[in-house]
Amino acid sequence: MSRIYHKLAIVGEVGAGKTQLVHTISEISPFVTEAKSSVDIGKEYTTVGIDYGRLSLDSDIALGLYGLPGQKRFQLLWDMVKQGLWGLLVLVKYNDELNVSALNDVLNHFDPMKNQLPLVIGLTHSDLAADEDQIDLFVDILHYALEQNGVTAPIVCLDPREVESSLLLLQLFDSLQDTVHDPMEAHRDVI
Amino acid sequence: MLKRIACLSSIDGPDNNNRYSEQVFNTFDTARVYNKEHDIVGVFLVFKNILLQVAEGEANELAKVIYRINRDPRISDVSIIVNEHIEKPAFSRWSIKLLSENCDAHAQHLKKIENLLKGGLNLSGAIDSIRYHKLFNMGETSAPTSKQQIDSHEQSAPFRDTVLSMPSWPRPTQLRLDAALMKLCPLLIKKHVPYQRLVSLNLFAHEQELTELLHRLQQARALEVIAVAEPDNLRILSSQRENKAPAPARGRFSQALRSFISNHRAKGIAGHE
Repeated sequence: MSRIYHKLAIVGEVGAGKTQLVHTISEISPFVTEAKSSVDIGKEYTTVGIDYGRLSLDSDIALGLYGLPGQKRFQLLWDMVKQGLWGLLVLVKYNDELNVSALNDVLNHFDPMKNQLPLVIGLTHSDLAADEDQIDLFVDILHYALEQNGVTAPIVCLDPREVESSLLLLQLFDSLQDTVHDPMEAHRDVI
Repeated sequence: MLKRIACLSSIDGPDNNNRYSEQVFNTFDTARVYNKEHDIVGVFLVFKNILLQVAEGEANELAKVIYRINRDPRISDVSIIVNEHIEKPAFSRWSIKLLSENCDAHAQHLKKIENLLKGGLNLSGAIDSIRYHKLFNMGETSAPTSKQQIDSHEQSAPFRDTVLSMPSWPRPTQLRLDAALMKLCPLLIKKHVPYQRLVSLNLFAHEQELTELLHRLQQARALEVIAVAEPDNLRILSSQRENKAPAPARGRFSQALRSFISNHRAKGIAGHE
């Protein structure tokens, strides 16, 4: 039986939790590409290359995890993993300033609709919100940005440190596969 | 002296460097920062290219807000439709609502804003009138007659003879997606699916489980339920889904992933015992 290897790309801005999530899911010690930040970004190190992790599901079945920086200047790295993706997770950090432009860049580049690529938006650090109204406000803007890109995707609150959170995420990607890979079924209005 | 103003405007199309969403966000963000610094509260309502800003605060500060709005290059056709004195503010903070059609929550929110403004409303021109009514009638596209029918349906068999749809994914604050919802939601997103068809897919061990999930979605205002007058018409629908096997590689991967997840959870539970 042939080997099966799928790729999950995890793209996100500085401090969104990409490296942590790859750590949480991966069974191997991830290959991380962090460098000391030259400006104050609220942490000492940040991703400047691909964080690679792997999850063996069976002797011949594996999921590769590719943590990628979210800035457009790293699109060379995006290109390296873009082909044949199983899923695209965009991590967005809850804070006062949503970088809509960076989100648009990622969606534009990976084009989930055209490539029938399951997409999930993971909202991290939502515990920093003062109340649910603040999260709603943030989600409103995210929804709007997705709509403008012609994309519908679940937005889930995610704690990259939690195993259960990452399992739910994998489960969600799995449930999105059938609809996305069956375009007739997915896009046809059945009435 | 406290005042309330409401200002209608049109958001200009995106320029070469900015997309429409960026344009909206940048406009909102500029207002958000300024208003926070000057104790101005209110709401920023966006429907398509129509923008309604309702602001409450000290009269002098609001005059500066109007000046800033008029000078904002991202919006045009600015018109003040409410300018009135108030005893106390109706809002507690500054927020944004990007309105979607057929969203009950948005329609209710709009109703509240409409009631708040109607006392001091002054629509001076035809364009204002068109924009105002376009904005406030937005929610009325969902057919009320269907809803009335559904109320009577619910009393007997909750979703039988209905067609179900989800215009968008539920917000994380409305509903936490669990395994069962993850199975169901992708089938309903941006599609119209007859209830009977969902039943025929045998997604869950019991039909009751399905109806409970649908109720949860409905309570979270994420589900659209449309009563069908003649359910016989739905016979034309094929049930390809249950007959169609997934591609072998995808099926094996999915199976392996599901076992991995359940084993991992079992281990986690055992570890905690």
